[in-house]
Amino acid sequence: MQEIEVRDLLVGLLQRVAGSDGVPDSLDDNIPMHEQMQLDSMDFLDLVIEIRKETNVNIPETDYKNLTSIASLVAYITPRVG
Amino acid sequence: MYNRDSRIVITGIGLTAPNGNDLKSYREALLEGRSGVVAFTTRYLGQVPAGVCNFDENKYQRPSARRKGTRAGSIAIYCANESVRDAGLDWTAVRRDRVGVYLGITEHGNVETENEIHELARFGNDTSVWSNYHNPRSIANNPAGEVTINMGITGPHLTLGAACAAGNVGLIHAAQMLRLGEVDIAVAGGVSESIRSFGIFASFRSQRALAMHEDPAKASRPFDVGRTGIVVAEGGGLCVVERLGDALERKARIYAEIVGYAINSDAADLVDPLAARQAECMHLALSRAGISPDAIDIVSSHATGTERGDAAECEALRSVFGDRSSLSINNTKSLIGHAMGAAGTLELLGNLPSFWDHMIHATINLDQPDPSCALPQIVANHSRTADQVEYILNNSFGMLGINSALIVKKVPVELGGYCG
Repeated sequence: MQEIEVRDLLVGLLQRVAGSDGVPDSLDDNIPMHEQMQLDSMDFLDLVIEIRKETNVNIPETDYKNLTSIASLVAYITPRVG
Repeated sequence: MYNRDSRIVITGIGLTAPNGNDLKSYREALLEGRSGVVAFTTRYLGQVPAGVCNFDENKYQRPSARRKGTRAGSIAIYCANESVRDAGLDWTAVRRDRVGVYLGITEHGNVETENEIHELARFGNDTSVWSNYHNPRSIANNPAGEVTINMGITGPHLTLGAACAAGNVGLIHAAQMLRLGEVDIAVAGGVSESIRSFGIFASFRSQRALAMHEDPAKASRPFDVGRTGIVVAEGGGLCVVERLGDALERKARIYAEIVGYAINSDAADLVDPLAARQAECMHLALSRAGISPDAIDIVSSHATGTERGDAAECEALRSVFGDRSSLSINNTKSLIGHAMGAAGTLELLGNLPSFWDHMIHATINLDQPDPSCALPQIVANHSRTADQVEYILNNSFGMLGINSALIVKKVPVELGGYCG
């Protein structure tokens, strides 16, 4: 998958997790997601599970702290998804 | 603290049934004999007849909150908000710490667990796909707890597991808590998400108690010789319940007074009902209401469309009421299926308007009464009028031999009694 495809997938998963009403139209990829929408730690875990289901990428807990923005998630997932 | 004002009334109603999402539309469907049972596809079993609700899940709940919660929670939130709105309460002025939420349920957690196991199998039993929301979704207090979070209620919340007697039990518990002075307002009744669990259908089928019919609307046939079992339904019925004194003070519209109730146990069998205990339950409710069987105008029966269950209840009804012709007996499940934890409340609420419209909805699909169920008072296939309706007795029974009977009384218009 290309980076743009991974990004589109992530935004879709975010909408699934945070609700269609919960994701702002103008997401800034470089700003932490929780600063742009209501996304608590349980929501993030929900997102991690959805990423696992959709991409087969299993994110270990030790990496969570580095994956707060869309850009960081795209950079993390793209090389692993094949 | 015991409050001397022990008269308890229903002042608000919120419901979703397979054939209506408010009391007015639901009542119209019942009187017209319009079934809410449709063909429904369930995991592994394919199409089965079921009662399916179509209320707007997002009327009172954001999509993100709905994702984290459950169908039962969603049903409860819809019904609770509708009931409070219907009660005319100034919600911003209500002391939320004095509100209790008491929801009857037949079961809870099956839907979520089945879904997670389905996903687990899809991903080769890798438990990393198991939802972090599974525990809050599947704990027994989930539906009531979701209501408190949605509505900012800080008083007690309970789900009351009482098999298919639960809808009555929710209202009974509310009356008890109000009489004890534990709360000032109760949001109470029953909810069911059971059609979302294939296991409910599969278990009834294994019991040879799952209804099947080429026309889903004709599948639920209590008392009929051609019945084949239970039609599972989802739904919810929640009421605002309060002390009469409080209702009078705020000049509330009053739907009915809860004047008698009883809960007892067969202490006999996991699934087979016991007519003698059911009759005892009705007698106890009548005794607490201070009335004789002759005072009851309508019995809203529990019968589910199983041979032994229908026959047992008819035996109990015969022993309590005899063949008095001024009594009417009907069955709401014939129209909506068996709404499990919501059944007791929905069946009561569907009959409440009889107090003011003097109509009694029918038991549909009763083409050929089973001789063991041939009670002369059963209202068959067509609604009929009644000269007067002062008392309604609502039966709800469940597995493990739990029985409940609830008696409500018409409230005079001068006290705020609803008149349509």
